[in-house]
Amino acid sequence: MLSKLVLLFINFFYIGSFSFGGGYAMMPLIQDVVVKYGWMTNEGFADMIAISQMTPGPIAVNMATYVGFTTVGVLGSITATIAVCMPALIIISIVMRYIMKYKESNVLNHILQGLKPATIGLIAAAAYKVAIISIFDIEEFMVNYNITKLIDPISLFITIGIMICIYKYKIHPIIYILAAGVVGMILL
Amino acid sequence: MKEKNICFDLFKTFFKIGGFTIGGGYVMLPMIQREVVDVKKWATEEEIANYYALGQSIPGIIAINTATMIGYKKNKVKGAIFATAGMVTPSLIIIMIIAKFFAQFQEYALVQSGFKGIRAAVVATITMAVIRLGKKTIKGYFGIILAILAFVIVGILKISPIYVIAGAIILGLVKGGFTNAK
Repeated sequence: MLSKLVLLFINFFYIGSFSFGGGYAMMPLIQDVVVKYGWMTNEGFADMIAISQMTPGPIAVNMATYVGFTTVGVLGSITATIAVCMPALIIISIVMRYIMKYKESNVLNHILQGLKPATIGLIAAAAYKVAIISIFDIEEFMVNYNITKLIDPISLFITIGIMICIYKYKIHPIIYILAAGVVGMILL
Repeated sequence: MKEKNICFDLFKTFFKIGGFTIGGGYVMLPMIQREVVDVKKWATEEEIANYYALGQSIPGIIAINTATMIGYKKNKVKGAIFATAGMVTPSLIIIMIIAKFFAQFQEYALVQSGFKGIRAAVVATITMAVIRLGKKTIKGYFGIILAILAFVIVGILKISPIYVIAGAIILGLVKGGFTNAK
């Protein structure tokens, strides 16, 4: 068991260090690992992806937790989770130390002048990608080229409804997530 | 004594955030705007924009990067650890329970439709969060063009964000060089 824990730690430490583009970018990395050690079947891997998306928490962390648990149990999930978080903790702590010291640095400010707007675009792109899956049901459309099937009306209704509510009211985002889940269960 | 309180507060707040960040790390943004900026006032909107910008470009999980930065700002390394721990604990518990008792959790129709609803909410909350952040962050044509470019390159052309990040850093430095030269 100890050897498995060590393998979990090393591999997820590595995975946690190379996460550009969000958790989805990590999936091939994780797939390589679980296949290499025979920790999961293809079905198990698909299950893991689905569950990691549907549960709270960053996807990459969820994947680590799940793989860790199914391989070694509670100790495995804790080990893998800590391992996947450590690179970020270490690197950011070092970076923050310098940033807080050189807050007035021109170079840093110039970099941020470029990074900040780009980040806005990147987050918008992330929302867009989810919108494509959620509101525009491309697969359904592809079946019959039936225009009416292109848009999922209920998802669209939920999205627009919530956007209006956010604009008008000061409700906590958590409420929207929960409410949408409930509405989804009833209507979808 | 006060330090213990800050750490516990960080843990509690990020426990809340982490518990409802469903559907990807970016969902964290509206939560952070609410909890960190509005309620706790641990950072300004401007600072959050900086953290997100840096969190994107530094390797590591963006959600963890952001939690670490906010936690570090409040209470150095200890704060960073408590914030991160708070964020991952809810999912640790929930996933262990699901993996153990609900082996086919994702197969239940109710779960799938509930999640579909949540995804629709995610689109809404992230979009509004981006608009809010964008208003504070983007000033002038340079910013607008960069944002649109980033969106098109990653969202529509599906090219890796690494190039956008590298390009943004370079362009920022170039623009800064020109502004200084004036």
